[in-house]
Amino acid sequence: MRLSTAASLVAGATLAMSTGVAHAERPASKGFYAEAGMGATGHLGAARSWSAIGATVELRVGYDLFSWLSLGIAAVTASHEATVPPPPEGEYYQLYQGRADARLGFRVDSLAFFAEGGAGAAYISSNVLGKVMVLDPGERFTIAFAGGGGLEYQLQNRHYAVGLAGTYWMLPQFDALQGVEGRIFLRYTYGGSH
Amino acid sequence: MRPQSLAVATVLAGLTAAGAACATDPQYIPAPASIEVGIEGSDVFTGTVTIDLPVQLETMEHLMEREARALELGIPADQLAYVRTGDFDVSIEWTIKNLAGSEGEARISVNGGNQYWYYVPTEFVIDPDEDEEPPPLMGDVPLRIAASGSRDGVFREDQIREASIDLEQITRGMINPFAAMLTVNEEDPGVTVPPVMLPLDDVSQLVRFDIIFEADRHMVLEYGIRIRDHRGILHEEGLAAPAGEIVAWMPAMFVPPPPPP
Repeated sequence: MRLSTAASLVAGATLAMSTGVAHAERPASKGFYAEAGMGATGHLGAARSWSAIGATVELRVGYDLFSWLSLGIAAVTASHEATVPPPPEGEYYQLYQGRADARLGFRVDSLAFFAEGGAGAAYISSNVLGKVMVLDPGERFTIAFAGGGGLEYQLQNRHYAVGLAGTYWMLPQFDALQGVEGRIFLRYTYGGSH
Repeated sequence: MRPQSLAVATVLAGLTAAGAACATDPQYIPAPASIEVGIEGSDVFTGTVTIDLPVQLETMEHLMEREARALELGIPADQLAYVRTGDFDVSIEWTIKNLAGSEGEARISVNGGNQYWYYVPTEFVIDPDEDEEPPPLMGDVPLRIAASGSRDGVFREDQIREASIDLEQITRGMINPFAAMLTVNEEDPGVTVPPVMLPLDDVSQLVRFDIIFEADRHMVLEYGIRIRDHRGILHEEGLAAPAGEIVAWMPAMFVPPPPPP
């Protein structure tokens, strides 16, 4: 009985491994990539009261140094309604971020999991948040830090993948303004498969 | 649509949105102080605040541009304002809060000045028994505010542009203030400032705002100025800008000429 149970486990494990190997062989390109995503961004902490959740668009380009490490740059824009005490009322502003980042990941089957982080700069389109002291007079630029992770599904075509990602960012000079962003994205990778 | 085309379209849409947003980014000038009137125990039911727009000093490049434009229009350079209506789109947003326990009435009026003149309606009243005081450049509409309630509003960009044109007509155009304010000029080719006609975008922009708040009980007015600067001459630090970096506007009060004998 014990022998048959052990045999079953071994057989099951072998089957699982062979399945895994088969799926891991789904081709995925490695090299230069471009990624476009869209989603929503919300602020955290006290600033949550001063800005509504807004739409975000994110573009990334970079290079896969290895199958598990990529370096790239990201350009992100988000548009928010300012919900500061009126007046003003119903006004919108845009927050632009440009960052250099690194992405670490691994692939299981046709899914890839990754974590990423980077730093750069941010620009805000108006001084509407000056009313609530998020901005000082004349302040429009800040350094920016971000980190996050997500998952990616490799399509049958080796160049394409789609994914879901979440990012936390912080802007120290804007009174340490913080936010989180969720997005879906499409990635196109040039080059051969690995 | 192929995924590759979708990615390109998304990239283009993002860049277009970013570019469009940059082109008209507004700057907000918060009120230096709210205006509170009708405080219990006081008999002050009117308050006024004057705000000058913080405009950077004119550079040599801007001066040369203005001189070239004045030459084109056929007027001396000092008769063409540094800040003109084509440079800024200005609006004033406001909120009135009724702090009393009963419904009341309030009025907001806005007067102001360009770099040459500022407007005071009472200066047009020579004989109080005969002359009616002309209206302010904007506002003076009675507003009912519920007990402990509030009300929001805005003097729109087109209203402030029209007020700039009206002031130019009243002062340098020598038009009666009633006639100037009862006529909407947004479709006109320009404003006659003898001896030439200034195109509407070359009319002197209001750079000073006198905000007058009246209420019949305890109320407070909060307001802010929103500016879309098409020429990049508004000081980015707003009212906190160092005095030496902004223009000190010194318009003269406009006094109408006496009637002919």
